[in-house]
Amino acid sequence: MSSSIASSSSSSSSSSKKEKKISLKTSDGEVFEVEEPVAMQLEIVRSFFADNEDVTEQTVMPLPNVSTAAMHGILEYCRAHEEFRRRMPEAAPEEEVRAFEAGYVDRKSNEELKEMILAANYLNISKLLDFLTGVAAKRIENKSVEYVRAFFGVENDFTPEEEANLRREYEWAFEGVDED
Amino acid sequence: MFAIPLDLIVEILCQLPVKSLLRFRCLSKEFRSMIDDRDFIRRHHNACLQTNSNRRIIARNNEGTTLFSLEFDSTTNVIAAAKILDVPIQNLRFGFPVIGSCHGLLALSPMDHQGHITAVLWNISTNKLRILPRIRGDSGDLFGCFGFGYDLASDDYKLVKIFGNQSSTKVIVYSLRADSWRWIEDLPDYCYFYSFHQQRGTLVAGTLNWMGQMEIESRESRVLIISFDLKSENFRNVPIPDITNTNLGKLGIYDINDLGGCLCLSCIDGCEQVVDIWVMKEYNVKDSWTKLFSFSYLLTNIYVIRHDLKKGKDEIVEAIRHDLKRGKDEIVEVEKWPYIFSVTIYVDSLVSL
Repeated sequence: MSSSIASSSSSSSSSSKKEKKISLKTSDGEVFEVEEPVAMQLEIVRSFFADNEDVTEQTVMPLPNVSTAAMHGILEYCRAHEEFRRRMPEAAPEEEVRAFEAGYVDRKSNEELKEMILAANYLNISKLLDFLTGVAAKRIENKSVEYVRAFFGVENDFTPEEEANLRREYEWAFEGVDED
Repeated sequence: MFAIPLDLIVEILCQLPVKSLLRFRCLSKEFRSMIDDRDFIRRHHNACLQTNSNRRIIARNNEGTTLFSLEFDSTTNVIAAAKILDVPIQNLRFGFPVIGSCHGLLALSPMDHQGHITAVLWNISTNKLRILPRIRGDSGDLFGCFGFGYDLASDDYKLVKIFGNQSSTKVIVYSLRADSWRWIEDLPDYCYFYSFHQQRGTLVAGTLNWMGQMEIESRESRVLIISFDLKSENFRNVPIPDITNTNLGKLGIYDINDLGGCLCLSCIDGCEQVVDIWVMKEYNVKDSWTKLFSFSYLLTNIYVIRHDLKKGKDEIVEAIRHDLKRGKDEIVEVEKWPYIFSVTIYVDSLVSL
């Protein structure tokens, strides 16, 4: 993806028209100045500004459940989608969107992916949340029980006998599983 | 280490194929009860329907000896090579007529070695099978009509068998919850089935639908649709469109299908050599019948109609695929495509038997 889409908000914008910005503060104290249409994709931000009449352009909205790292990922996605949206309907860039999304998650580790899911859930960005849960599903779909336990942080509370019986019930479901 | 809350875990699990979920029942006791839960099973199946995933075409060859599974790739619309299904039933012969498919359960009516028709339910995705009890007093007559569907009111799966001839028609209903058959009121004697030879009912709007005929005057009869309400267990007639055609004598209903939850008729015009596809947009409302399109029946003798919920488009899939939105036919290449006798759309599920 071109750097103009993915560029961080802290870098100066070269666009000629001055856009309205919204200030968002992450859990570790960094303030992001985000273009309004991008910030409004975050439902929590949209309703904060819609419901509070006394907020001004100078208001810095705190987002205590989102780290700076997660915020970078969230904004990269939302900016790209704002860019795609602007080009509609002339170019319906379905393939381009798919290519962006594929590249976007390929670089993320499981921990990063989970952090993004939690952030997208908290910020209430349903489109991103749907996309990320789909990515998580694809990642674990063909994995072993042990891998998925680690992914979700699940403790095995079956006795070895119970687990062996459960595995026997659908033996074929354990065939053709990827290496962890 | 980030921990995903339970509601989001459910979101993720809903997007997994059945095979993965059967494996992940081993994760922990909580996961096992979550995956076995009826509400989860329903949500998962609905998610499959919404995204057009875990969907396949079940096809039967002309001899009825083999069932094939053709898997759809929902993103590319490519049909993978036909795979032969290994039906886990022994001591049966003469193939596997398909009665219908509902929520991942495939209903079949195979014949045993004594020549009796039995009925079985098979969840292909979990590979669980249930052989239905024999009907007392049933000679296992070949001449019966079947139908299979789900009744939301009783949260039960019902299989209907209709025996008869032009003078009398008996009806018996199997309930999966009760695992037993019970006789219900006969079909009204003014109408009768077009064919009693294993005609299968089409499931639409909580009803099963078959082609029928009704005597209007002596020696004259009219084609109609006989509908069975799975909740009330009553029959009624559903109007067909007023098909006006100069070659009326050669015009017939060829097939009843489900197209995106609507009843869909294929009418054949022998003179024009075309098949007209009609859809009843609102169930049992005669004025809602709409002719969608026509195609030459020389192109194909069997086809699948599917509805893409996500993209909101309807398609005919066969050797030709008709894209309703773009109004054009495409050739669909399928490796090892069998000579097909009948096809059914099947969507995977965890529904237990």
